[in-house]
Amino acid sequence: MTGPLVPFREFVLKVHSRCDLACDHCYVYEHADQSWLTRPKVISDEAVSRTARRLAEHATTHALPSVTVILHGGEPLLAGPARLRRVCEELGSALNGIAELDLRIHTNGVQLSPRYLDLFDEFHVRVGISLDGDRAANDRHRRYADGRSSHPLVLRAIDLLHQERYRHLDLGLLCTVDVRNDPVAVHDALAGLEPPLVDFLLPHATWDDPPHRPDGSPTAYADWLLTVFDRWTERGRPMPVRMFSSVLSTLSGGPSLTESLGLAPTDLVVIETDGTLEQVDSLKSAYEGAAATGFDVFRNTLDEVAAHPGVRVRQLGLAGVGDTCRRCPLVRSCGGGLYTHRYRSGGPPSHPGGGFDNPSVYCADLAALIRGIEDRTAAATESPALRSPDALLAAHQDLTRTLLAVLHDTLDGHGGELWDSSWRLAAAVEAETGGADALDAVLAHPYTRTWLLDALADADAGRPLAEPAAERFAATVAAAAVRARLDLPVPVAYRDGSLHLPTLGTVVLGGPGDRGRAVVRPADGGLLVREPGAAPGTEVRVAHDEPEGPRWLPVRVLRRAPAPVLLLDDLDPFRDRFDAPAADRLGAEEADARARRFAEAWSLLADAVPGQAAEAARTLTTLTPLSAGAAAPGRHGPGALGVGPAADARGLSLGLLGAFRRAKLRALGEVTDLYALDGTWEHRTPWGSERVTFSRLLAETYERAGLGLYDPGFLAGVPEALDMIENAAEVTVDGKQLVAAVRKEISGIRSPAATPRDKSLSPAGHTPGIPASGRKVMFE
Amino acid sequence: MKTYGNTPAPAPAKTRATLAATDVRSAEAARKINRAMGATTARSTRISTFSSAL
Repeated sequence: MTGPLVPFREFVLKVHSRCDLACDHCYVYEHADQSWLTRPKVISDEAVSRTARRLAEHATTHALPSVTVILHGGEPLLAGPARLRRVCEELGSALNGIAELDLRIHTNGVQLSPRYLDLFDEFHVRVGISLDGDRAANDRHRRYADGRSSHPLVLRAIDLLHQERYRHLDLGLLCTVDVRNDPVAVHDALAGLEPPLVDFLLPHATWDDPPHRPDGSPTAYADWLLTVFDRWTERGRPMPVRMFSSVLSTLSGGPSLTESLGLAPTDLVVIETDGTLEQVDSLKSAYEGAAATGFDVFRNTLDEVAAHPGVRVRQLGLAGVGDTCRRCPLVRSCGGGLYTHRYRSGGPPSHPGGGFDNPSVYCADLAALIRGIEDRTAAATESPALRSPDALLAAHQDLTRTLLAVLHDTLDGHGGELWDSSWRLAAAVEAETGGADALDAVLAHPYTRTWLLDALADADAGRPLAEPAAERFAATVAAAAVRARLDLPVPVAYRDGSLHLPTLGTVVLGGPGDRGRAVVRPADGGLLVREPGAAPGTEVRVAHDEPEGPRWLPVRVLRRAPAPVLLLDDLDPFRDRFDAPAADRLGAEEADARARRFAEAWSLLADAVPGQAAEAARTLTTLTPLSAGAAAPGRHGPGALGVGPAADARGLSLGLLGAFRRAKLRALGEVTDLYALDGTWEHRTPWGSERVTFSRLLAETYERAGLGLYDPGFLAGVPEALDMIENAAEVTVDGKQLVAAVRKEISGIRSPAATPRDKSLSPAGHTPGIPASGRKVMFE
Repeated sequence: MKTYGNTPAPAPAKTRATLAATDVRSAEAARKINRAMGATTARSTRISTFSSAL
């Protein structure tokens, strides 16, 4: 069994092993394992002390910022206020200064009183309560041994918990499903209590002891839960429902939120009243001793339990589920279901399939539930960036600003004096009329993303902010102030004699190796750069429309119809993020020749694929001249493409289209989750023999589909690849929406077999109208 | 050096927060950052996953 040991973060502490109710669906007393009969009723002082010490030891060893302890049973309130106080004190004391303690208790509620709640308020123990819905539903199972209802007492407990003085302790309600109950009545009863959270539990079952299905339907539980989902949606989702939130999260590429769904590694351990350490206690439903590890808090560390094979197998993600599940496209959302529900007795060779290496006994229900939620929500949860280039640009503007703000927060005052002054001045720029737009315009430069991500990676690795990053932020603020024509002096720094103002140009203040500070002040539509202590009259003055000269190198603007207006950025020190090296500053003739060739290529593109050309025109802002190759997407933010000297106009037009498709897919993937767990599975593309990751399959397919609009020969294998993507486990709801959009793009295009890939192109000539974008930043 | 004619249209729906007021510590912000940095998706905030309790 491989993979790193996953430390425990969640500890289920059994403080009392008996219960005052006699629910006939309880896994502790009514299922296969009967070990409760041999446990002490109440946890001993020694077990409490040892447990607290083990938790502190584990938190220290693994530098855990926090641990969650859930006081559980039986019925934990039966331990009494004095014993619970002792537990809280011991845990709080042992973990003080080591890790934050998140204390919870889960109770049937029937004994909950102000005496307990005052104690919980003192130690901030939050309270979850079991309730199976309306009275009829709850009383189906949750009764006293003499048959009396628990429902009125539970409602009284919830009412008490909702008093102003205790409300902050309320965790919510836990409801076990019984498909004989009315799902709408159950939902409405729970929602009517205004809980902060609800979760639904499938009753514990195994292949040996399958769930009750009154009408024989293999999806009875999914149908019941989807009825609840519909009611919940119809009522405006009045409270979070953990099971639904988990499915919605995993469908979108996020993590699972409960051990009963998803592939997240288990990080919980159970401590019984006698100090024995057990695996998750729902295993008691499988067979006698299923949860046992043979360890206890007196003799064993928690690391020993974490290394137990029974624990490890639930920490392995995909490798921890059976073969059938591993190949299932839903496994990312269901995770094979709760481990307990996979159990079947017997084993090889006479009874293959014994143990836990099976799909869940709720497999059909889980599949129907996940598909049902996906069908109901996919359209509504789709990222707007998938539908509209302008929305994609807006999402990236938001992302860039978030990256900058997070970097500033992470630096926490340690970014240096230049960073701090730039941050203050950025706020001043934002506060001025036109300033916010100007700052956003400079931040929208695709190279901004590059230095921000580098700086954040440094910060995450504990490295100090690199000087060029602080200098770039200052230059960014200065460029924004100039663009907005604000009367605002901005301190900057230069190196190698150059001060590059992104999107504008480079001020030459010295030669190679020269470094220093200066102040940029906007003036008359241009700017002044003054070095501290410089004699009056020696400042560099750059006029509006200043041509290239010994002190000023403007960023060239490509204006050659039918190509869109773009920066030809051969100056920016952060531009070199392509597979081929960025070209040095081009001579005027070379720049003109590249612009001409680009315009010719664009003309071909606009003629052959007017829709793609129009979209590219809406989003591209910056061409980076490269020293080799044709066209490349690079690793900048959206809006940049690299263009090399190779290839004729036709080759460049195809190269631009391919690069644009790759850049767009990258841009989409930066603002929405198109897939998750990339690299977990391998795929064979229809056009190659190599096995590739999902991300590569998607990238190649997306590019080929785009090229296929230009030349249908590229579409060979694309429909098959789209089918593979759609049925892969990695793809998210947004990934599927992208597949649908690609299908629509290529629909109606002739069969690749009838249109070979090397067919001649249509002659260029017609220039389609390219609509202006509402979101594109124009740098001219 | 032309600096005019360069302003993008205002964001269509969302009100623009200043840099200082930008959400930097929420789970949503963490998810945005992780996605852009190519980090694997993980539980960005501590949650209890034990199914038999909240």
